Amino acid sequence: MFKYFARRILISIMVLFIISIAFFFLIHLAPGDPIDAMYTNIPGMTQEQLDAKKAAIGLDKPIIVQYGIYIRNLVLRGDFGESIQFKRPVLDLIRERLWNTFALVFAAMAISMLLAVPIGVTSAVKKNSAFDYIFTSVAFVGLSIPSFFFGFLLIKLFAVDLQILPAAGVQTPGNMFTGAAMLADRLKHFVMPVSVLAFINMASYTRYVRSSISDVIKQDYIRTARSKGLVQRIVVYRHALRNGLIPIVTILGSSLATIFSGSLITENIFSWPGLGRLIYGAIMARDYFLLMGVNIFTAFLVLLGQLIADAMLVLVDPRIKYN
Amino acid sequence: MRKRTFILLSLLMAICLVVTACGGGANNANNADSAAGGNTAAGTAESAAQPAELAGNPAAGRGNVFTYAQISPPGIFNGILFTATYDDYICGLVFDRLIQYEPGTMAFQEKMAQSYTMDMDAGVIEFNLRPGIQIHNGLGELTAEDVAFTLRMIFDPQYDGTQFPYYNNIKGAEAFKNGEADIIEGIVLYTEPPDDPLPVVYNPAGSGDPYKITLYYDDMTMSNLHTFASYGYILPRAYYGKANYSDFSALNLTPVGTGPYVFNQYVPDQYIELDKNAGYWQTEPKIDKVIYQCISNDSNIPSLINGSADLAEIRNIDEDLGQIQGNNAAHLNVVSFQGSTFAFIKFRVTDPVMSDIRVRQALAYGFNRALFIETYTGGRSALTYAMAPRNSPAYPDESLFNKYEYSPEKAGELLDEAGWTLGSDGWRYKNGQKLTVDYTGIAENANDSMKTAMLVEDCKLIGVELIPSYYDWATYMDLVKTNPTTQMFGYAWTMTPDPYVATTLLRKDSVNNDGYYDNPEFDRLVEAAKNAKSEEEANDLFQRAYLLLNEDMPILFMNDYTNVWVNNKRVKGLITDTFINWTYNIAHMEIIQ
Amino acid sequence: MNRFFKNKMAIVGLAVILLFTAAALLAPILTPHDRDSYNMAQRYAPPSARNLLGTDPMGRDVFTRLLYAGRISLMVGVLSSAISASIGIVAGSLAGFYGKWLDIAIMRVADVFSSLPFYMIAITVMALFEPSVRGTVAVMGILWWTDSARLLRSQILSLREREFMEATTALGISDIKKITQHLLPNAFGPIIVSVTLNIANAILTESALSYLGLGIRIPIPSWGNMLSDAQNMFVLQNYWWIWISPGLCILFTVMSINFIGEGLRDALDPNLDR
Repeated sequence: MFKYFARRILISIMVLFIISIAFFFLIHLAPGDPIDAMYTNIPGMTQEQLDAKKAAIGLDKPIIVQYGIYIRNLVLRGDFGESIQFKRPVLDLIRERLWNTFALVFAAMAISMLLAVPIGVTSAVKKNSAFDYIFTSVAFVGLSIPSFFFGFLLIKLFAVDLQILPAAGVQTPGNMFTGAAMLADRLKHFVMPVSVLAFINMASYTRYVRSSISDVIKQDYIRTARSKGLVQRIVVYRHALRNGLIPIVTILGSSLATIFSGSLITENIFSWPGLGRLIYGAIMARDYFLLMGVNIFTAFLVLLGQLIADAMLVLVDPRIKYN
Repeated sequence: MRKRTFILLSLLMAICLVVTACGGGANNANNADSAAGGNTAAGTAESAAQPAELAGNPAAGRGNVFTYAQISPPGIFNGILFTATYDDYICGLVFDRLIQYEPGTMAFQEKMAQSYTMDMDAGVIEFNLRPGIQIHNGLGELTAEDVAFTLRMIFDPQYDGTQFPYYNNIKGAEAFKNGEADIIEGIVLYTEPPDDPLPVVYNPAGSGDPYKITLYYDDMTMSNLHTFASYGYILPRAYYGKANYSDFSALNLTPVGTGPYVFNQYVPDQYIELDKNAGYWQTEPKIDKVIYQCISNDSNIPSLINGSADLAEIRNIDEDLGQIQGNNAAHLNVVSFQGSTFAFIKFRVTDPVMSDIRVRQALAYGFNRALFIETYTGGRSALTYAMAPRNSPAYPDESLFNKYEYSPEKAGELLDEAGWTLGSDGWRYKNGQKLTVDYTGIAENANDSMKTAMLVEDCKLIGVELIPSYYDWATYMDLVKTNPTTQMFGYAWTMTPDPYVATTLLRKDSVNNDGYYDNPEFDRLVEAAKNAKSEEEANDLFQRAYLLLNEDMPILFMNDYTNVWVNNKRVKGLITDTFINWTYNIAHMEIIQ
Repeated sequence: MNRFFKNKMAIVGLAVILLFTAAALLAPILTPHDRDSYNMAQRYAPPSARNLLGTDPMGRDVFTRLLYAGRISLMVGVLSSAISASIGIVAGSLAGFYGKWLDIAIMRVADVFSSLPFYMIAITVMALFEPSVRGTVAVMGILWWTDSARLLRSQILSLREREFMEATTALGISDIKKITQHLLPNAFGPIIVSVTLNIANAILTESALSYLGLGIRIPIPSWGNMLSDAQNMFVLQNYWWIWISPGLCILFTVMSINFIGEGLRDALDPNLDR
């Protein structure tokens, strides 16, 4: 197993490398240019100025050479380069926003998982009961509502009509709260964005848990266990949950990317100071270095997540063999 | 087995908790900064006789703090390096100019300069600064040397801002930038050279006057003075001057100037906090703190309604104002004024179809622009016909313009005349070729999508098939520059206080002329206006150039933007105008407590 | 199939989808109004006999636009999930069954695809195409195959170890037959779930792309761009008919497709209790 994971890590590094090449060429291939987009519309701008600015960040060189320089700086010096829009190191920009996104994403993930597992399992066990119908319907609504629309409805209700929750940000700007007041201020800002992200994820987790647990329940060995007269709860938790969790673990790993992606919309709706807004702005401005930096960084996190998911898969299903 | 599952779930929970806790930790640090660096905001002042403005005002408890809500600025808070308007707001609070525009008249007005003279024939501008202007953080007095220093940084070979072309007429500027000269001969100071002299001319006549600076120009035009009023922030050498260029630009996030507010802290994508400069040379500001809150476009209205913002800009005028005028917004006040931007549709005049002036004019007649503008701006904005603000002296008498009022009939006649005749299917044809027009719009722009929806329908009525496509801004810029199949495209352009700068939109050799317009007469008129010896002469020439465009139709003018701002009624003394933003009167503004 | 028709939710879902599809196809017959022609005198008109669901900010008939938008939204959902499911099934069964280097290769490609957050790539790819129906379908179809591939692979991995597969090997059954007749049917439940989720997701994502300004653009209406155009407090508070109708169309459609998927899953599952 150690050998398997050592190889898996090596492969992940290779994947990161492929991503860096693919994405570098993709964004340079995309029409538009950061300097043109940022400066052309300034009255009085001259072509010489634009060319000088492009040359200053190396855009005048062939794309292969540009990639070579980029990857050399990254590998040898850990240098992600400087953002074209912000004129600051990419790593600084990521660091300033990373924890805000982490807090949002992991709070949403934890809450949705904590709700999804018991609901999904209960629904699967008590199939076609009132509990199943109610929560399955709720899950369906969560799956079927556009997140921006749900976010707007929350803002309308809680920030505009009732005025009990703030519409934007992670904290009251310029506040000098400490201790409990600070915590309360933060919690207030957390409620809506986390709810939106968690509700939507909970829905899809619940569906997966329910369908995979009910698959397992139907299988012969569970039926055998049931017929032997074991207490149903023990059957479910011992056999079904363990086997039913296999696809869930896979989904958990791969849903990391989906949640990061979904946070882009949520961050935009609630003016959340995280990576999602940074990425969106960087794409729009064709901020090549920032885009590459955030991208490689996020890909790294997601690969790490998948590696952990794989490790957990081995933990829960020892029948899977790795060579 | 159960044990293993338990370990698994615990592990998952632990990861979540650790990460969430880290989030809290990082933010705590920010908070500590704010507590250490900030002076305490005044608490709620509940008096027996509460002013009418505060009754039912959700912002009443927020104290003597002015909160401005706007999208996140790029964070280049440097008076000579910024390019975004949002960064300009912060610069306007931290830095001061020598001269500025007066609201209403747009005439030049002294600010840090107590007087200035301009000699058009000799090519000289001279400023006399007020004595006693103090730099933030006790860094001493601002003198003419700081003005020379600011210009010297703009002329630095490594300078990567955008302001150099506005100052490059100063004698020796180009030579210094290219490394051909060690001294900028056009900048003259009237003091003995200090130990670390700037590369400028010191004290020619020996009369010691640390507040006086003279600038000699190669090519003297009105534009040279405009530059100081529209850009012209002065950076103190005492703070910015110690280092080489890369150290200089590393100070972008911690600006220090002489303005009414002192930069306190920047929390990226969240807020920028500024404290009042108690020793401000004009007057002690009345508002303790200014906070620039970074929000997304959709949050401006909710922030105003729930009182968390004191001022914000309205984008979708029609819809947003409808909301502001609702019953839970009695504490809000709408300010609208002539903006400095106008919308237009550009024709690719080199295109075989669009090169026919009759087709361009027909499209002008055939599009119900007045209805669009009336609807989209709720009547707060009107059709414009020239690239200068309508309150500018360069804007011609409107009756001189052909208004191209909506008339499908006239459009039809012009198209018939141009040989595009109506086929049996309702579309127009010439030599078997169908009259289709490729229109390129900007995807993020709501204005553009409503405009285009109307344009498509209006064109249908005159037998022209308009095919719209949308791209994000960067792609759009690329396409209109390089893709010759784009026949019509639309966006907005900035009108500048100096009308000459804005004409780069259509001058032949300009990068902004992406419709490939080439009219020597237009170029001649604007060049003559730039070099005119009096403002009257210049304005007359600009007017003739605009009337020429009205006839030749390289672009179809839409509306000039009316800026609509909404402020909380507890804020008093806000002054805004075309080329003047909300920071203009900030030192005199107050918040009713 | 009988079992499918015993599932009430699935029947309701199927009925709703058939109704919406028919309405979308018969749009020109069902409404006297033109899809795009505006009438500023009729802006924000409430529902009436003339305009069943009122009018939008340009005075266009909401009901009419809703019908035509249904064509686009349903088509985007079906096409993009068909593309992604086909890629995913082929890739997942190859990887799961053959394992070894083929598994590694396919899964690494899947890693590349799935470790890049969707909207990041989508926005960049949209810039390469053009925000259009074709672009929207292509982006989702190409980027979404990894979920079903992984799911299928992990199912096959655990099925492969089961006794009955050893039996098929002993009987000398060919690989193709093993995959199509024994492994795929056993792993079909999760795939169906994944496909229905993808159709639902595609309709939702189209609306999110519209919200980001990069989805399907006017004059072509989709439920997504109708809903995202209505996202401002003014419309939300005053003109319910503009946002409720596309909102409910998305909600009902996506829910119905999910119900159908659920029903199919139960019906196709060979292990289900009789």
